[in-house]
Amino acid sequence: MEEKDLIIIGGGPAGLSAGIYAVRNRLKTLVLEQALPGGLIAEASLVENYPGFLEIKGMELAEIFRKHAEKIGVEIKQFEEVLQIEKNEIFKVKTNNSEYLAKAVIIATGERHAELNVPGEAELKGKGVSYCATCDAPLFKNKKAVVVGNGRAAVMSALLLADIASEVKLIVKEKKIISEEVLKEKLKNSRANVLLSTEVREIFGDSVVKGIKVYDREKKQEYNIDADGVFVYAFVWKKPNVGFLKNLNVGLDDRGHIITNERQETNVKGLFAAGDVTSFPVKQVVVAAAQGCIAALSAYEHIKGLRGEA
Amino acid sequence: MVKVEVFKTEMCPHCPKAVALVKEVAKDLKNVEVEIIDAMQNPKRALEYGIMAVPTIVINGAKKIVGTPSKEEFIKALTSVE
Ligand SMILES: Cc1cc2nc3c(=O)[nH]c(=O)nc-3n(C[C@H](O)[C@H](O)[C@H](O)COP(=O)(O)OP(=O)(O)OC[C@H]3O[C@@H](n4cnc5c(N)ncnc54)[C@H](O)[C@@H]3O)c2cc1C
Repeated sequence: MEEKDLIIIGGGPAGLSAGIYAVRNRLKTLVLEQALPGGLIAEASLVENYPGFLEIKGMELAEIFRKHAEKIGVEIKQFEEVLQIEKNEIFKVKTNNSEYLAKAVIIATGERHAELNVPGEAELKGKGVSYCATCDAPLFKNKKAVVVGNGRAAVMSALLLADIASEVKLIVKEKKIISEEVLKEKLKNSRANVLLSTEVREIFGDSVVKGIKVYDREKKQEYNIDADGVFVYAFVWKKPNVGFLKNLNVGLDDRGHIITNERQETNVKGLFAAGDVTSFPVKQVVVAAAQGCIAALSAYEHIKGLRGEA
Repeated sequence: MVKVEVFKTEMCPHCPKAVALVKEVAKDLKNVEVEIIDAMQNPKRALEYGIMAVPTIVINGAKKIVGTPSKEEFIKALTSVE
């Protein structure tokens, strides 16, 4: 079985940043990524708040992260999903392909999209219900779209669709939009209509989406909205990717995010976490990258301790 | 011969995984022909199959898989149409 100093699970901004710092400290490091390296930021149509880049497409930024890590010598195995971790003296990491041993592990697996859990959603997935506006928005040219959700990703998706679809409505359950002021201003000046305090109760259609049933929480009224596409960004309720941790007694918060201290240490010795998967409330690339750096340096100290070099 | 068409769009970050999976499986099985189609450059083909999300994998013009399946699921889907 291959043995590494450090295994990093997840090749997003947090994992790749951790990889860069680990390799520069000469740790034998492996990043395991279930899809392609780069992480969730690849879904952002435009990133305008990551220092060093005035504006860049999310996919391009993801690609630069990958190239940077690879140039430094970080070994990345893509399409390799971690299924389980065990800990005895050291860690054993089981994937869909193989098993590895490591002295330390950093979890940087981010979060996944949450569903709305309303009738019709599951049946109409891929038939008008989408969870990725960057992927599917072009297919809704001159059609009616609604974006359901709140937060930066929902607002950005509404802005993206405003340039493509014939009509866009952003359906927000809360009383206010939660997003950067700059994005709120852009939304105001866009073709997108915002419906606040409005809850989606059903997505309907036969072979394809025809519309949604909503409930106005202020007027206490239910009504229908015609739509060809429903883009779900229930981001405020996104779920952390931690299913593979069940054998370890890792401390999680009430929404399942990993609890760490300021050195990104979890309650399990030698196990660190960074980025969106942690309970830290700000979910942004700059935070993920910073936490990846801290986690790698903490892992380095831990490994030095095991080697008797501390 | 089984024909597999993979529909993608330019900005879709999840599509390369589906393309890589299909190509990998096709390499091992001799009787699979693969075509990668940009849904925006081929709107007629996309419309014909009712593509409303990418990636979508179409097997023999009939069976549609939306998203990227696991390798096992994809092989099962391929063998079930043969
Ligand atoms: C539409 C959209 C727009 C956004 N816009 C911005 C923006 O403008 N600016 C900004 O700063 N942030 C933005 N974000 C947020 C940003 O994408 C995240 O904060 C950031 O990607 C978090 O990085 P991460 O490394 O913690 O997690 P992720 O980027 O989620 O990376 C986690 C990685 O782990 C992998 N993984 C998960 N489970 C496993 C497993 N079991 N085995 C192996 N690999 C696994 C995943 O495939 C993924 O690649 C946006 C997000 C979205 C969705």
